[in-house]
Amino acid sequence: MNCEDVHALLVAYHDGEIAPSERNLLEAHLVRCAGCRDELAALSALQSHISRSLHQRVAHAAPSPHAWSQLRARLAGEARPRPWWLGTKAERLAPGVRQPGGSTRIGGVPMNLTRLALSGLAVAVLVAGVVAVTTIGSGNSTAYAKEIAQKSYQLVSSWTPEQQRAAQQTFGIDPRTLLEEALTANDLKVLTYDDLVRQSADAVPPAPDGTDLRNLTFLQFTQDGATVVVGIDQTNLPVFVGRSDRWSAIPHRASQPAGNQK
Amino acid sequence: VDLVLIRRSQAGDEEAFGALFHEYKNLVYRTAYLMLDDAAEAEDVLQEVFYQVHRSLSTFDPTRGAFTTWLHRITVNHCLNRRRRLRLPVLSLERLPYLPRAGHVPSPEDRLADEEVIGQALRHLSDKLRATVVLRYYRDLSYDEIAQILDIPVGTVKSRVDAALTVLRRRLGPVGAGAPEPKGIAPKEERS
Repeated sequence: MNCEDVHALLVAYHDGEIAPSERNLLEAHLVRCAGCRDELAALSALQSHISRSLHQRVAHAAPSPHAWSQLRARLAGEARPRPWWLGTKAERLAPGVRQPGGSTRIGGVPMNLTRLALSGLAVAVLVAGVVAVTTIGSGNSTAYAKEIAQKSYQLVSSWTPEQQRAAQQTFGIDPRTLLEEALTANDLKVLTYDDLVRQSADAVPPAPDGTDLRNLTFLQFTQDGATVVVGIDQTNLPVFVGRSDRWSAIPHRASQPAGNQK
Repeated sequence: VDLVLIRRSQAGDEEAFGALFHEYKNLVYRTAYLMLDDAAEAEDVLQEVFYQVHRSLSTFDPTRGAFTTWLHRITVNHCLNRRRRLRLPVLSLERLPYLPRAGHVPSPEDRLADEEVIGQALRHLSDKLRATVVLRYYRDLSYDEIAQILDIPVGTVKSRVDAALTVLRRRLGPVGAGAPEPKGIAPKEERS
């Protein structure tokens, strides 16, 4: 083993990460080579310095004293009692994180928030004149509406926390909460675009991003005396929400949420 | 004790999960702080990691690996994703002057400087090298543990440690009395 061979192994040797046979050869070389001993000493000093400096750098670093209460509040919000048709918590879990040797997938369904950019005001106009209800679906409209709401809920629940937050900012409300309210409302109905047009006293404005409203399904229900309409697209994504008592409270968000897009 | 907390947390015991959080919050926060160099980002990572842990704890199997390995893995992945998203720059080797520190006894002021110097030096590492350095020299993990966390072969861990030390040695200068200049023992640095 020459000096070049030794230098290539010194870091691993210092870290105790080389095979015994290599260690014996390396140590035999060190006995007779002052240059390599100096190199090992320098390396050892460097590693000690790095380790000490890193520990010093974070010695006083600590998370906020509110960190646990923030997390607990977030988890408690998720653990509210759920209607039986939403399924078990395990079924709603996002894909897990791989343990060593397993398969990894953090995060889940990609979300295109550009589709959330419809105008809340447009929705307001769209539903403000609703005076009657036309039902669709065969047989049981309420069951059909709940089926749509449940599928949308499952989709939203599969999003990453970052996507959840982005959606919440967009809607002004956690979309899961919104859909839970739909599922627990006793007057949930499903409407087509034509239903809304027929029942609206005002003209229906065009969707600002070119989305064809005719492809959406509309869930309508009453909450706290206000009429709420949720537009659901063909992939079960809720693309907007309108509420008759605060129509203009829905912010725009034309950009894709950051992070965890696969 | 940890296994008991994990079992109880898996069974839905929120008090046990709280104890688990407090047991490991500093590990996650400080690892994230060193990875991201930003207290607010580290705070966010802490929240996201334990949220993820809470959601995924049912999939954790203690017979397949240590809880800390699993936790490190989640933490590092969150940090790497965040760095990718933030596009935090990796500085070139020539941006900052060398900081030779040979041959004197460190004073308290020097120790403060060391913290800053190592922070500057870490910014010259790619994300992958930075993660390796933090796991090896802050968490004091073995190459095998680092390999499991980063999902790379042990040989790659070794080459990353070598590469990171070469960069850091240049940035930090000779450390300790009589330390020689670097002799090019390490392979070419990886870039993420």
